[in-house]
Amino acid sequence: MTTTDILWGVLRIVLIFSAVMGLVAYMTLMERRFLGFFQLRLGPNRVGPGGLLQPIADGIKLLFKEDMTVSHANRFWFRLAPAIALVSVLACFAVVPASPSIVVADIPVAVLYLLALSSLGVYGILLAGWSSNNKYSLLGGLRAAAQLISYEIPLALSIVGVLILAGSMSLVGIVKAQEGLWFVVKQPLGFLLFLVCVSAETNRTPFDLLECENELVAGYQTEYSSMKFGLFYMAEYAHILLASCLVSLFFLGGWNGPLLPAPLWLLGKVFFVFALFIWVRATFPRVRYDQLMGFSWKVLLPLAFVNLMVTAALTVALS
Amino acid sequence: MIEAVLFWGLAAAAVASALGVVALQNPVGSVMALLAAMLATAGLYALMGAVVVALFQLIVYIGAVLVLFLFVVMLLDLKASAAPARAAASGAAGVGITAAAGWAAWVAASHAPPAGSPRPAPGVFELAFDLFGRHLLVFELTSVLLLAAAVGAIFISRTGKRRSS
Repeated sequence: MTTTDILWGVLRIVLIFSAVMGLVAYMTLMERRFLGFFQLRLGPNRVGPGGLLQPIADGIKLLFKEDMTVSHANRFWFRLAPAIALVSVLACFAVVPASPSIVVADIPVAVLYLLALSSLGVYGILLAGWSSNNKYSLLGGLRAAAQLISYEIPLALSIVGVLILAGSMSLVGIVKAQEGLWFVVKQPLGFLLFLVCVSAETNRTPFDLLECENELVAGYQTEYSSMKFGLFYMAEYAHILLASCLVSLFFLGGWNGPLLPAPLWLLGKVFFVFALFIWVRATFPRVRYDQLMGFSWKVLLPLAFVNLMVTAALTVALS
Repeated sequence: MIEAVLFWGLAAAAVASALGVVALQNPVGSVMALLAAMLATAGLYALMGAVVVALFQLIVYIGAVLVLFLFVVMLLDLKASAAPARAAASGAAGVGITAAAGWAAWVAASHAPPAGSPRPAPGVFELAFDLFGRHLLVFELTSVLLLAAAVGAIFISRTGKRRSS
C-alpha cells in the first residue's frame, strides 16, 4: 500500500462522509416541508430563500442549547449511547457505492457487512433507554430491541432473492447485474417486503413504537438534550438515507440509466424512495404493538420464505 | 508491522474486556464488556483473513445473542442482584475450567502446523458448498436439534406460567 493509495482512501472517506452529512441535513428540511404540504400548510420557509438555510439554523440552535444530564442517569453509558447509534450507521456507508468508482471499499461480502454493522445500532437505543433511568425511556428501549430484532429476520431473507439473481454479495456487483432489467421487476414481493422491513428498522411512523409521543413522551431519547439529542436525530436520518440508498441499489438499478452521469441517477432514485417514505409517514397511523409483532412473525416472515423458495426454484429451473 | 500492532491491540482489548465481564459490578457493564470482547475477537478473525467468520460473529453474537442478554439484564431488578453471593465452590469451578481451557489451548498450540504459507480463508461460496454439500446431513440435523430446543423452551415456560396462575 503506497502513500497515494492511503491518501486516495482518506479522500474518498471525506467525500462520502460530507455528502452523507449534507444530505442528512437537507433531508430533515425536505421531510418538514413535504409533511407541511401533505397537511395543507407551508412548513419552514422563513430562513433563507424558500427555507433553504433552515438546517443550518437548526444545527446552530442545537449546539447552543443547554446540555443537560439528568442527575440519576448512568453517566458513562448515557454519553456513549448516541455515539454508538451514529457510528454504527455511518460505518455502513463505507460499502455503499455512488457509482462503480466512487466507493470507500467495494468488499465481496458487502451485504453481510451491512447486516452486521446495522445490528450494532440497537445497542445505542437500548443503552440510551436504560441509562436514562426513566420508565418511559426504558420502555422505549425495550420496544426498540424487540422490534429491531423481529424485523431484521424478514429483512435479511428478503435480500436473499436479490443475492440469488445477482450471484454476488458486493453492492457494485448487484447493481451491475441489473444493467438490463431492474430487480424490482423480477422480485416484486421481495421489494415490498424490503420496503416494509426497512421502514420498521428505521423506526418510521407506522412502526415508530419506540418513540410514540402519546404514550412514551419521546421513548429512549426523552432525557436527551442539545447535541446528544442532535446525534440521535442525525443517526435517524442517516439510517433513512442508508435505507433509501439500499432500496435504490438492490431493486431500482442503482446508478443505471441513460444520459445523466451515474451519481445523479442514484441521487434521483434515493430522492424518490425518501419521498415515498415521507408519503407513507403522512398517510398511515401508528400500528398497535401486538399488531407490529404479529405482522413481522406471522405475515412478513412466511412471505419472505415463499419469495426465497420461488426465486430459488425458478432460478434452478431456468438455468 | 501494521498487522503486528493490530494483533497486539486487539488481543489486549479481548483479554481486558473478558476480564471486565467478570470483574464489573454492574450487569449491564458486563454485557457491554462481553460485546467488546466479541468485537475484538471478530477483529482477530478478520486479521487472519477469515472475513466471513468475523461478520457472522458480529451478526449472530452481537446482533442477536447479546441483544437478548442486554434485554434480560435490563429487566432484572438491579438492586436485588447488585451483590451476588460468590460461593467458594463457584470460584473453584472457575479456576478449574480456566485451567482446563488453558491446557486445551496449550495442546492445540503445540500440535499446530508450523507457521508458513496459510491456506486462503474460504469465502461465502466455499463455505456454502461445504455446508450444503459435504456436511448437509449434519447441518440439517443441527437445525432439527435447535428447533426442538426452541419448542422445548417455549413448552417449559408456558407450563410454568399455568401452574403459577
